[in-house]
Amino acid sequence: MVLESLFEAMAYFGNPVFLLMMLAGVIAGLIIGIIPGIGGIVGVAVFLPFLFRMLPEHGLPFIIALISVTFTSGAITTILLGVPGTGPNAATLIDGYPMAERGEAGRGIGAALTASGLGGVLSAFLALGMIPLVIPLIMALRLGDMVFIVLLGLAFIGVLAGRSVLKGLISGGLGLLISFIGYQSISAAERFTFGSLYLYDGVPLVPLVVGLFAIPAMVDLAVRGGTIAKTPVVMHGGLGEVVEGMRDVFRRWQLWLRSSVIGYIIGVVPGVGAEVATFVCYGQAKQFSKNPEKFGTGIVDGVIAPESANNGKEGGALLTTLALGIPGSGVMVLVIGAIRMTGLTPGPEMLTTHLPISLSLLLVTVVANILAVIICFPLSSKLVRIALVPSAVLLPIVVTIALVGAYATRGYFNAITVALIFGVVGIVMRRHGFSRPGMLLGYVLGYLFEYNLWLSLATAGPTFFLTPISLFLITLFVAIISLNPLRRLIARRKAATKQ
Amino acid sequence: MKRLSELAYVYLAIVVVTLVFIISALLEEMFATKLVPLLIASPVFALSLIGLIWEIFAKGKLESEEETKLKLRDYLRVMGWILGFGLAIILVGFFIAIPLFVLGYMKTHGIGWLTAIIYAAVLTVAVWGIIELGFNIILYRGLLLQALG
Repeated sequence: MVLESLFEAMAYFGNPVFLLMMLAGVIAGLIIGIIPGIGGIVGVAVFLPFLFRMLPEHGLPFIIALISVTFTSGAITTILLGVPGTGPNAATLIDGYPMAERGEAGRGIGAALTASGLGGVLSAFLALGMIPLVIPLIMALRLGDMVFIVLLGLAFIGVLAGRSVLKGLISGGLGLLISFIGYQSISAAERFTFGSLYLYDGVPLVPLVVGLFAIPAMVDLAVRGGTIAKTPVVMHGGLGEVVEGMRDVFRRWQLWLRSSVIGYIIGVVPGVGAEVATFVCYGQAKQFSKNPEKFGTGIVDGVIAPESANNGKEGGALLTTLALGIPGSGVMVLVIGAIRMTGLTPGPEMLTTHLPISLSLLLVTVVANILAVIICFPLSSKLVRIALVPSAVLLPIVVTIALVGAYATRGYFNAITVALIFGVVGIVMRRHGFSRPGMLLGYVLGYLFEYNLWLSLATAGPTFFLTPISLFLITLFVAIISLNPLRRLIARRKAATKQ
Repeated sequence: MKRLSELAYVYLAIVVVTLVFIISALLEEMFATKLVPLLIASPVFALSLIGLIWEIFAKGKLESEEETKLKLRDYLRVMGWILGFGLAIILVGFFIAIPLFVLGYMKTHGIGWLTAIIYAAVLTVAVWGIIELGFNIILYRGLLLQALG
């Protein structure tokens, strides 16, 4: 079944529109990654509205290609400007920028691009290899188990990805409540619409996403003062120096392999951000190095390790997202939204009924990473100029695209109102440490949660949760929400004992 | 009386919102309609109440009123532009609001006239080309223009 589906997946690559959308996603992702302050999340939020009109096999490759390559181009900004292009590129800054200041910018970029690209390719193949092992686990899940998988997903994203358990749970809960607005199919009644016809179909996804993610990012960029007032470091050595960096990755293949695999494993764990993967790998590279004292001074190992990890993480995160419908990372929450928009249901169905599409998305990750490296290799020094675009130019363009997109999905001007309301909500949440991915996840999975809960109650009664898998998931849920409070309690007791 | 922090007001807003959900759910006739919202809204209400109480009695140092006002002013200023753009779309439609917003924002933030005009023109044409010609979606013309026929 998996082999047949793999051939079907490869057949998608014969479709010119599929290839064009993937290429467009790569270009969009590279541009977004280059500009500091705008990550994959904002990129997906801005382009999500346009998926509404596309078939899944056209829209999804665009999104997956986009998120696969943002860290790749982010490394260019990090090394040449000394500012992380995306959050996970922060670990690359430690050694990448000193390399550039020492006149080895090209070598740093060559190493970053190669490590990143190959890390992404390896992680996609690891995910492909794991699918035959994951499918039997997926088939064992019942309706009732899906209820607790949704709660677990909220716990991972809201609690692990954020800093506060309380705020994470509140964010996820609010997302669930928002999803209950509108017509409920179980009782054929409308809820919480307060007489509004527009809300009969519920709060629409696209204006919500645009408001929660794109608008706050732009406001933040404008308030911080916009562009980096720096001149990029000049790459003196040209392409030869970039190729030398590429050779460094092959010479240090064990470091690259170890970092990519660690990144992949961290990616499989839902809710853990790419920043964790990159800093963990940087730490292990330093630990196992023969010259740990050189880390921080501009050593190429300090670039290879985090860059292998940040793309290495994506294959694992995508597998978790497709297989369970639990996002492997914050940006995967939007991928779940994108999957829903194309009419598919994220979760076990993606590895059973829609396995060919899922496999094609993993293959897109492979091809997108290779394309990104091919594009960036000769153009790095020119691409970095995109990062110097002032926020006074970026903000009106991005906000215009976002609001046009929000309107375009349903064609009602109320979408603008919804986007602006959630824009304010998003800004408040961002300022005060609430989890926007948690809220979005609650919203996206709310319908599944309620539907599966009712079906489970109807078929198995109130004791539907008394199955081994459900009990395990409940235990895991309790463990995750107790993690931070327990840590704080232990730390306080240790401090009290010392005194 | 101790001045409340911004976060306390946020928790208060969440308490009010969840209370609205709870009351609306309780007023629903059918059990199937009210159960799950109540199941979710109740713990969220409780958690946000805990957060509010924690913030009220928190011993942490509040940032000065001056610092809060400065930060808030920056956010309100930028958000004002975006809300104004939204209002303009509703009143006069996309094809007037977009060039006005782009030109106005860029010009007041240090971009030259020519550059701002070029960006405004290119973006408006691109939006028209991609959305109306490409996707065949008629963009909103605005309440005022619709009223004028």
